Amino acid sequence: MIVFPGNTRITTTPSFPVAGSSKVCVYDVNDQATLDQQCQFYKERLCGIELDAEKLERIKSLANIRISTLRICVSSLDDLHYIDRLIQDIKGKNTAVILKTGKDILRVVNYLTGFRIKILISPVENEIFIPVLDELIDFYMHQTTVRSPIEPFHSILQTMINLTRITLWDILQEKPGFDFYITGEGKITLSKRWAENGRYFGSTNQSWDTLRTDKLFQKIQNPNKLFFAEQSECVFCPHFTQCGGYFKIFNADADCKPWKKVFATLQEEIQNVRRILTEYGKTEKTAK
Amino acid sequence: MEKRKKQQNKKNKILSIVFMPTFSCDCTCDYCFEINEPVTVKDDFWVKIFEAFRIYSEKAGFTKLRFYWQGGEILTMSPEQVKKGLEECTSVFKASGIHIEHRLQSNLIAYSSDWAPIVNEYFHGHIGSSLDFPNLYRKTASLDQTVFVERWIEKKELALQDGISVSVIALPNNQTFINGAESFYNFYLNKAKLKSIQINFPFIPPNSTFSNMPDMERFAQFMEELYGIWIQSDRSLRIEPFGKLENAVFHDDNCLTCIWSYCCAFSLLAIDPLGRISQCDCWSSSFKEHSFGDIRYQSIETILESPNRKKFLERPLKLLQNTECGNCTYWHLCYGGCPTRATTMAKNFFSKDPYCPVYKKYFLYSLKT
Amino acid sequence: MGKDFFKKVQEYLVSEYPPALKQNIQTNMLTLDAEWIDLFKQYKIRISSSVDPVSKKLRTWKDGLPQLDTWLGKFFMLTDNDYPLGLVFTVSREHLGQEEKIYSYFRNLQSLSRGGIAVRFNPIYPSGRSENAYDLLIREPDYGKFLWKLWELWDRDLRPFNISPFTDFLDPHKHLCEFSKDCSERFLGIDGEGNVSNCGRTLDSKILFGNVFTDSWEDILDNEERKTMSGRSDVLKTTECLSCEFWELCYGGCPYTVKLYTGGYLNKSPFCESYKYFFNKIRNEVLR
Repeated sequence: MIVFPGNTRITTTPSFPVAGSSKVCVYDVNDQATLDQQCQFYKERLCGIELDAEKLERIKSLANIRISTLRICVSSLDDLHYIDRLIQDIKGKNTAVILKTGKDILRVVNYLTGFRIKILISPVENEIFIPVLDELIDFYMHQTTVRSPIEPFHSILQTMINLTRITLWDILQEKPGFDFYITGEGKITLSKRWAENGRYFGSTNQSWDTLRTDKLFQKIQNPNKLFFAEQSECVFCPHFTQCGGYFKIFNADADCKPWKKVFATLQEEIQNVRRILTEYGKTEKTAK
Repeated sequence: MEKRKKQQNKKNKILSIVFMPTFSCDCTCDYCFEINEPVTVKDDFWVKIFEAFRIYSEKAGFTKLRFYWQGGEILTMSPEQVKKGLEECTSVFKASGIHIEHRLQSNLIAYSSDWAPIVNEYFHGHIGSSLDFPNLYRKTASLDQTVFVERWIEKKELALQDGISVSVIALPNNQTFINGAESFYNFYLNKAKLKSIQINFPFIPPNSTFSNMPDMERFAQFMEELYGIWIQSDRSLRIEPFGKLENAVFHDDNCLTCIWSYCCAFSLLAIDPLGRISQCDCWSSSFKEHSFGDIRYQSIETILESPNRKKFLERPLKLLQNTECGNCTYWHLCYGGCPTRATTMAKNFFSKDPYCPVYKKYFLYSLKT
Repeated sequence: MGKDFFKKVQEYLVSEYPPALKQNIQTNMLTLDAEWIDLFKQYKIRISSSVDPVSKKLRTWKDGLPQLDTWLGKFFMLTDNDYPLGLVFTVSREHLGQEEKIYSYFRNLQSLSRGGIAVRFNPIYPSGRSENAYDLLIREPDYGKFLWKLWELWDRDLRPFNISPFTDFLDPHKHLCEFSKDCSERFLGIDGEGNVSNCGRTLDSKILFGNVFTDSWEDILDNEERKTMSGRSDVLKTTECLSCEFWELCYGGCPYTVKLYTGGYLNKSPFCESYKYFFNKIRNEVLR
């Protein structure tokens, strides 16, 4: 059974417990007993629990759970009912909701941000989010009372402002060499998205040394280098520093235009703010 | 200090209790939503009330309880009666680790210096009262509206001399709008010489003949004007909800008034002199059929599972899912508003607060300003 | 140059010259290997290389195939070793209108290097293989417009890496050779046969002052052509560049490019219009 190094984060199911000292996120938690068991087993190593909103019906209470991130998948407006039942417990935790619906999106984000619950949207779920991206980014940027981040907008904005080298890979928990995902069949890859695209490094019955010599694993240790080597159009893109080629890693023809627009919008907002601050600085100097 | 207080409040789990030890009142205000009954808590019932709250608070993990003493009219009781209640409370919660605060709401008409020691010792030297401008509806059997105001001011001055500060709730009416925001502001600052007022939004009491509801358009205009005056005067008079809204938007302080909380049922309860629990004083005597239960027969924990309370818990999400509130820019400031106003004015518990247009205009104006 | 010869040269330099001697090498990197890198590390050689990722037909092997693939492989060798280097990009008419693409490429390239990669932009001039490539030469003031567009992008991003000539214009103490008043007083070029010229560019065109094996240094430095170059700025100051507000930024530009375009040295740079265009755009930053 594989033992990951301590400085890694493994996302796994209850069926494949992870030994060692790595941090662990557990998905597919379906009831209170499983939840309690995972908390008991991983203790301080547990950095996240992920479950579908409807599974919350089988959770009596989250009050005594100490976890740094509770991730709840919401697939419809109706799913908010399950969250609402436990909202007093949930709002106190470092909670994130993974949105799986674009329908009634404003209602859903209104509800969640009202409780300062972080919202995550998956940029590759185009069918769901492309129709509502404009609305969502407008909400995030211009709603005065929003106090919780909508990812990946928030982290992208931070990286643009602070000029850091954080990309979508980091934001969406696909940091090669750090993040690992174990499927329900015990296969190991980078994330659920990679599993859905049939890309794996190995499996849980291998050793760490075998896994890290896997060709794919080696190849993606520096994704930026990969794109330059392939002379991908991504390396000419003004948004590569935020995106890192996230959209085109599996398919060079993947459509990333809507997200380019998002990046451009965020960039423009930052420029506006900088202009205002520069003008204000000039006015201050004149006033003095 | 302010930041530490905020942080401390965030850690505290606070339950607010509208505590009505009496339904008796010495006023005959036209718009009152309570039924004036000569019912007052019995001497041997204080302990039962406070013990019920202690048991519940310990189980639910509340670290702080705030008892808002109102009636009826508290000052129709004797200072000795009230003091007994306060002492029983102190005794019951001693060594519980739960912090207790008391707040007093009174029409002030029956105030005398005999009350000063109790107010200073238990109510932080402060009385919350009510005063409208112009006063069209507040009166007693012997005091008409004009004399009522004069008497009120006299009592307020007396309280001040006794070292007690006074703030008011003001309910604007259509005449207020005609007189204008400036005269409203000047009245409270210069005539009544107050430091703090809270503007409430009137509603029609059920089963009442009172029907003079404010004009929404003019109300919204009034709020805008008043806000502008307030800013220009450097906020010399503390006005809620103006101050609380600014704190919420600019200082991330989550303490908006109950009508603008996500769900008032999370942290607010009312109890009447007989031990009946309901959502707040607006529901207590006027909507007995919406009561949650009775501590004489049930624990508070059981009472709170009442289907009548469940409606309050369900209301915000239903508004979000099914009405225009869900798409509203101001959802985080309002959450669909007050269920009392929805029920009494729109006749639908699950509809948005009919003051929505007033709130919206005010939010927009203040955020822009 | 073979490695053995290079080693001999370095050993000689180490023994004869003070440690403050700095060495830069301009190379196409196409035959770079691990051994070369070790040698460069050992003797602290700074590397600079030219690249054109946009117009692949401009940099090709003898058989016409683009060099970029090979160049990238060598580039990765250096970045994998954390070896610092600078890049040179020669701007031709082919590149006009692609400012954002070019800028983005070099900005994205920074993600592969911890220390940052400085990039120098030069305009193409009619010399060597591009002597008769009139379709590549840039018309005035298009080069200035190119620089301005590049600047806007660089400035928008808060100037995340060094771009020459921008950083040189901004630093009053620093002047690139072509914008220095007296390049012939500060530079010399010497080839493998001992021929002496003004610099690497003039060497390429065989503009020679003498030969170290046959001529004395006095004779070399007293060469008429050199003297003309040397007195150039005094002449220009009172003729074509009289009352130019940008004189101290430019000093009439590179004498070599003037010679290529006009046959003599006593004219202002053929890119004058471009530089004026550009300086006007950034006048608040460069005129003090």
